Amino acid sequence: MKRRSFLKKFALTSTGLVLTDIALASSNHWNKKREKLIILHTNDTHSNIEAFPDNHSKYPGMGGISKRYALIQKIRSEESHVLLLDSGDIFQGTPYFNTFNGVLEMKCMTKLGYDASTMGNHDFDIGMDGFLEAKKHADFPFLCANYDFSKTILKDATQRFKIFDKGFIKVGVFGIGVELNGLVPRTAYGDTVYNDPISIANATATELKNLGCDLVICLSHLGFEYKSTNKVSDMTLAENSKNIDIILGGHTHTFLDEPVVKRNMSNKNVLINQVGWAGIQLGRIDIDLKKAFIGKQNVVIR
Amino acid sequence: MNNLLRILFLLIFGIAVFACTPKLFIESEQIKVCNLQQEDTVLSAFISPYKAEMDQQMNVKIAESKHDFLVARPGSNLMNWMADAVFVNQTKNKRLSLPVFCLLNTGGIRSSIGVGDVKLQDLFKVMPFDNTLVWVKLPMNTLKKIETYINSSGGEPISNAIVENGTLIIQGFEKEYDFFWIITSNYLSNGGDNMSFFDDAIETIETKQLIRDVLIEEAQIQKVLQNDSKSRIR
Repeated sequence: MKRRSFLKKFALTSTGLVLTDIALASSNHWNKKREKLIILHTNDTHSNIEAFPDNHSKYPGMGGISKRYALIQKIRSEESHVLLLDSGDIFQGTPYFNTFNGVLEMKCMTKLGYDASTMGNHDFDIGMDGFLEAKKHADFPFLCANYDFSKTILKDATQRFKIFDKGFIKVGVFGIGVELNGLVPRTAYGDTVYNDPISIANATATELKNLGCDLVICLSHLGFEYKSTNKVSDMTLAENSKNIDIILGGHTHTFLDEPVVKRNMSNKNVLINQVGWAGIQLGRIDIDLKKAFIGKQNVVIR
Repeated sequence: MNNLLRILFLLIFGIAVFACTPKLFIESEQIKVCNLQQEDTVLSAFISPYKAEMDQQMNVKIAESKHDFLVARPGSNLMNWMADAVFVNQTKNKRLSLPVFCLLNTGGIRSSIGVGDVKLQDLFKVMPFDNTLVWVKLPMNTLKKIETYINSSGGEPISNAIVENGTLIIQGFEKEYDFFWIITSNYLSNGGDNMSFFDDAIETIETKQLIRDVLIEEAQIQKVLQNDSKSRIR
């Protein structure tokens, strides 16, 4: 039985973000091969199948799922451990959605090879039955930890988390949704119960760590930050969290220049990222696993 | 002396521990998806029949626009156009003696309209939601709550009403009333966008008309979209 303790610290350096002390462990495994985990992510793609037109006032020629796919394929050809994730609001925003009721979005995301997504408030826009119908075309799981769908038709359609084995690390991914009351018509979310995001996120993250996950990622549709501090956001979640390493957010369509780092309850750092909306950007977070071995041989991830 | 040695030992030990600290490097990049990238031809070919089907339905000219119609708080031409189109459509052939105005939500206008042909898809982009119009009767004292809401949000689309120096005034009625009517979307009347003042409703009439259909109808009647860029929140 190997004992592992995770002491994580992020520090900002000129070359990028550095996560120090990923793990202090005793193990005989010692992989000298250069390995990286590449996390690719989107949020609030909002049915933007095509790129914005070249005469668009704000985002001329930007976005487009076909270009995004080419980009992802290139990265996959260069790297062996890639996770592709989405933080919700796949639906609504272009006539593709009105014409095909979300089916094309699901088919395209499946072709792009998404590993998981969470549900945003707009993913309720054609009701839970509409979502379920479109989801038939999705070959990836929807992760929702704080929506209790047990009294609804979505009761077997989503899961709380999924664990991915990537190289020699285990990555736990779970989803957290925004409060539906006041945002989504009652008729659209029916008997869905919204549970407190922070307590559910902490419980799920702890569960994932106990299941041996080396890295825990929260797909959040809470929104990056609000003026009112009593409204839960990715920033407040990070501050009040335990065992979450990375929050990939959505909802507020926030274009961050780079991920934001926040201290959690255990005084460890949490990385928060969000890439605007409409597929204008693809977030890429590289975790260089080789650099994790700087120092002593007994320091490994697994 | 002993203490000094102890401090020195701790210092060296500390430095040694620090030097051995393992590091996991994280690099990040927000990759712009733009014209520098190639499309994936296989995926583009997969999408193209969907695009053709959508275009066939959506590429229909409805009207023309001589201005850029934009959304901007506190008030803008697109916000005015949308609220006016709804108000005009709903009050056609009605003699209005009661206080009534239209209130929509800025957040519900999802796109702008450029100069040139206004196509069906443009109005789908402006109003993608399948929301319907409702008439809601509210007690007069609810007007203050709406005023507070608009002042704090910074501006919502309104028609037949203005907010002057922070006071919401309904236009075009003379007698005193202890109630008024609002023409709005079922999304808002159900408490959407935190418009909880609709909880005060005395009566709600569902028109079952899609807001988008009403916009299409009015745009077709106007032929050239009517431009009123003066903010009604002032």
